[in-house]
Amino acid sequence: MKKVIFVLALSMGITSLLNAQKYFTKEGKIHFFSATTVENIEATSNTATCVLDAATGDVEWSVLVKGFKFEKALMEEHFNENYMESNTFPKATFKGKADLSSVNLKKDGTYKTKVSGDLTIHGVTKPISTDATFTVAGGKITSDSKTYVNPKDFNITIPAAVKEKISDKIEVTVNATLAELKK
Amino acid sequence: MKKFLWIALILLVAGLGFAAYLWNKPHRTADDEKPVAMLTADALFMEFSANDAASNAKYLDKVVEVSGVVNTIGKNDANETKIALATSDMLAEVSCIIKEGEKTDGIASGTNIVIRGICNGYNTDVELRQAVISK
Repeated sequence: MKKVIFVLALSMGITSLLNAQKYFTKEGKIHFFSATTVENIEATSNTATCVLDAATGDVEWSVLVKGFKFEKALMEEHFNENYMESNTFPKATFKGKADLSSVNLKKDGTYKTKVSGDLTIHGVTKPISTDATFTVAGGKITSDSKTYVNPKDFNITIPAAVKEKISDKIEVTVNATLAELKK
Repeated sequence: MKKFLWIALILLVAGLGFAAYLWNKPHRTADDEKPVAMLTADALFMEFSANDAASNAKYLDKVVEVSGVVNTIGKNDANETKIALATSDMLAEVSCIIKEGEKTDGIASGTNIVIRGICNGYNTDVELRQAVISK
C-alpha cells in the first residue's frame, strides 16, 4: 500500500512539473503591412494573447480585430466594417504546433524552427506553416515570426475600385515575450 | 458656359475638400458618445466570461463606462497609455487604451477610477479603446 501511494505521489509530482511549462502573454504584437505601388497600409495590435506549451510545442494566438490601430481613422473604419466585418468576426486566431525536435526551450539560446497550424481570419480557417525564432533567456521565451496572408483566401472581398491599393501578399509580423504562466 | 465652368469648379473644390476631411478625420473616441452601460469592471468581465456572444451583441463597438481599481498604468509599445482594471479573476483585467491627449496624472496602482471606452471585445481581457477618464 505504501509503495502504491509513493508511486502515485511521484507520478503526480512529475505531472505537475510538466504542467508548469506554459508560457503566456496578453501583450503580443501583431503588425501587418500591405505594400502596393499606389499606397502602403499598415496596422498594429499590442494586445494579442499567446500561449506556448514549452513541453509539447503547442502554440495558440488570439487577437481582437478591433484592437488593430491604423494611423488613419477612415482606413480603420474600412478595415473593420468592409473587409474584416469585425462585428461579426471579432477575433482572429491561430492554433498550431512548433516543431521542437531540435529545440530545447528549457535551455537559454536562440532556436529557429517551423510552426504549423490553422489560421482563422474573417471566419475562414486555413492551414499555414511559417518559420519562427524562439529565444530563451532570463526565464522568458521570445517568439518572432513572419508570414504572408492573401485576403482572398479568407473570403475578404476587396472592391474593384481599391484593388490596386491592397496587396494580395500582406506581410504579417508576430512578436511575443512570453513569461511562465503560474496559476 | 462661363457659369457652368464656375459651378463645376466650386463642386470640384467642395469634393476635394470633403475627400480631404474624410482622409484626415479624427478617430472616433469614447468622449463623443454616451455610454450604453455603466458597470463595474468585474461585472463587465463576468458578463463576457459567461456569454461572449451575448456580451458582444450588447457591447461590441459601443461605449461602455466601467468603474474599478487600477492594477497597472503604463505605456505600451505604441506609446499609448494603458490602464488595466482589476477583476475577480487572477489573470483577466479590463484593459483600457487611453485616447491620445487625455490627461492621466495622479492615476496609479490602487486608484479607484471610472473610465469610458469603446469595447473591442473579450480575449483574456475585456479590451476598451479610445478611452477617457470620467469626471
